Amino acid sequence: MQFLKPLFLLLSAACLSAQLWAQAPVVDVGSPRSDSQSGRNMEGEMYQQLQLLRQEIMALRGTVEEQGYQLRQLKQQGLDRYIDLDRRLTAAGSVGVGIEGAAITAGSEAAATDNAAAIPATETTDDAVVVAGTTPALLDGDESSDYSKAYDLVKSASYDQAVTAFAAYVEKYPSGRYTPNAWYWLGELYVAIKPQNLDASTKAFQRLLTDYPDHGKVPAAMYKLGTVYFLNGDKKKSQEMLTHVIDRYGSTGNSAVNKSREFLRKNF
Amino acid sequence: MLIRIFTVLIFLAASSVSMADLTIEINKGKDDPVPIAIVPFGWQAGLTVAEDIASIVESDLHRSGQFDPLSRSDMLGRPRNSTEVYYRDWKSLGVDYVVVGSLSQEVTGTVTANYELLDVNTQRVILTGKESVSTDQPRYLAHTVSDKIYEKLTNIRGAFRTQLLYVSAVREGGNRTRFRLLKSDIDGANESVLFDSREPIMAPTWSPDGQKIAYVSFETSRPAIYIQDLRTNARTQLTSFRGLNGAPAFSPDGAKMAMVLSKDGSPDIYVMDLASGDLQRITNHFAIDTEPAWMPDGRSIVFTSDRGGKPQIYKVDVASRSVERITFEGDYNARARVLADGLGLVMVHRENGNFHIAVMDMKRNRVEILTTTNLDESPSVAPNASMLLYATQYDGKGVLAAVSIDGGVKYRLPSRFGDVREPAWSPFLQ
Repeated sequence: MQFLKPLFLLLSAACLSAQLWAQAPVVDVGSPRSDSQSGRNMEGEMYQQLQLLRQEIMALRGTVEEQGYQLRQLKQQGLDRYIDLDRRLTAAGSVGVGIEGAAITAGSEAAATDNAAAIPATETTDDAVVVAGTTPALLDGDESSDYSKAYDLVKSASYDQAVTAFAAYVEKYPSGRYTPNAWYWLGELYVAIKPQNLDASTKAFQRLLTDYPDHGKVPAAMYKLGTVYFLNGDKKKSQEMLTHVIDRYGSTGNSAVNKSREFLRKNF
Repeated sequence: MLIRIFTVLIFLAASSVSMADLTIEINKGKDDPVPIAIVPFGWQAGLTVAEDIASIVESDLHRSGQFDPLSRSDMLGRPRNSTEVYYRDWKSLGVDYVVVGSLSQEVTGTVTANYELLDVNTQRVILTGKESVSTDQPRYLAHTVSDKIYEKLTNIRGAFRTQLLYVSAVREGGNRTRFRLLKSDIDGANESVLFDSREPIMAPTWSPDGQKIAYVSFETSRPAIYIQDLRTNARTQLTSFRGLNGAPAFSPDGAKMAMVLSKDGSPDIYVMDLASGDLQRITNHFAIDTEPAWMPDGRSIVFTSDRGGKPQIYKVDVASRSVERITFEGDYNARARVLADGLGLVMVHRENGNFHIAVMDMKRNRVEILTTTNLDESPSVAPNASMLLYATQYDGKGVLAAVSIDGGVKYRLPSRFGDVREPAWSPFLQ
């Protein structure tokens, strides 16, 4: 392109001037002093004018294109804002209780999972302040506010209370929207509490794997279960499970695959 | 950031005397390449193979930037198949995968590779393969093995069996320059001269089936588009219109050729039906329209135009001729090439007065600059869209360089003689 361009310009300039020369007599007839010298000047001037006009038009076209683009962007932004606002208002109206921070990643575990995407990220409403004063473990809301209350306990590292809350949650909502996530957290939490309850953790992860085999948390749960087996001294099962994660999800780029590989490398 | 220097000397193919052999230097790799060991292949007694197969596989995987091959001197053993592998040894060397294999002759005139890919952490064979080629194509055999391993481990189709076209210019005495159109394997080996001229050769491009190429040659003292059949080397002059004849681009079905002609005034995009020779004018503007590239569906063409005062990328619908501007970021975007999925463009993008190669996400309208050198031009994308080649300047010479589409891997292919430019990465070849 860079070295073609001068060539283009030359060629187009050559075509242009040829056309203009051909039109020369028309200009001459209209001019009072039509000697060849002034005719040529006129033509030169016309040519220059035309060039300037073209440049002007091209610059204007560029501006119009860019403004059109900006306009489309602004429209899209306006629409996005409206949809966002509408979603917030609807959520505030129906939930009544704020689900604050559901989208905030708590600790490295939550950051490594796609947990946040599964939970509606609604804004805090005034009600949330009221709720905060009550016992958080008490499940008196709907499935999403109860879940976020339990999840808040994970974030504040109140693991024992979180276990109670999630255990109550899976009982209250045996097939709720966030029940798979609750089983996952139970699996994690039983390892985090002191003393650890590895059997309960195993059961929670297994429950997630059998009841929700297609859920997004399954690869992470399998990896975790593999590590729990390891902690429990069952190296064979652990290796099997981690190998299975690599085989089954190796092509998906799921972060559990690399973690499994890492764990195998370090511990076997 | 890892900096590695890695040089491969390319031996000239006996068939052609060429001046512009390429060498490869990897100057930037991925930050966490997968550790892998490619054990030298065993071979049947009495069999001689002209190339070190495992070493070529090693170079291929290394060049992709996604793998970090273990040095041979660090290997504790040379197993030839999975039963001879002691996983613990490889684990202690920190490799995740091991490739073992052996060469044999099952049919006269051919060589066969049996190979296995092993996962050290799970202690299992995850790929078993067998490939045969005629004895004079050992490099092809190696690239085939590389493709299979790459595909198994990355889930992306390997492009190690692809080829490369480029133009070299060598100055000769008395102000004369010799232009050559060259073809080589993608690693620079097996270089051959396709066309040799004292006048400029420009814009080489592949047909979608990889059997023909097209380019612009000034051999008749004015630009004309030629098609050359790679099997017979027969050349056909496609166009020789008054003015410019440039930037040929085969349509995705191979039946048409997009090009730039200035026969009707300013340079515009035209499409020629290759069977009938019918010519259609696709754009009509007093500004310069040039550098056409087809969208993968063959229904529209992207091109560079300065109709808006500055060079930008536009898209024209071939049927309706409606034109739409695509790029808005920056005051110079040109020479677009479309990724195979049609969702992205690579192009030359100017930022702070420097010309870089950039990739644009067409859905989100986001532009990402991939190269850090200046005066980068002529991007050409691998058929698996994992990497792209481009021309740049290094040490005052025109050289070819490659960069991965995420910008993480970079390598240069400097020529030893003269300037090289205008790389064209082939499609997948049969």
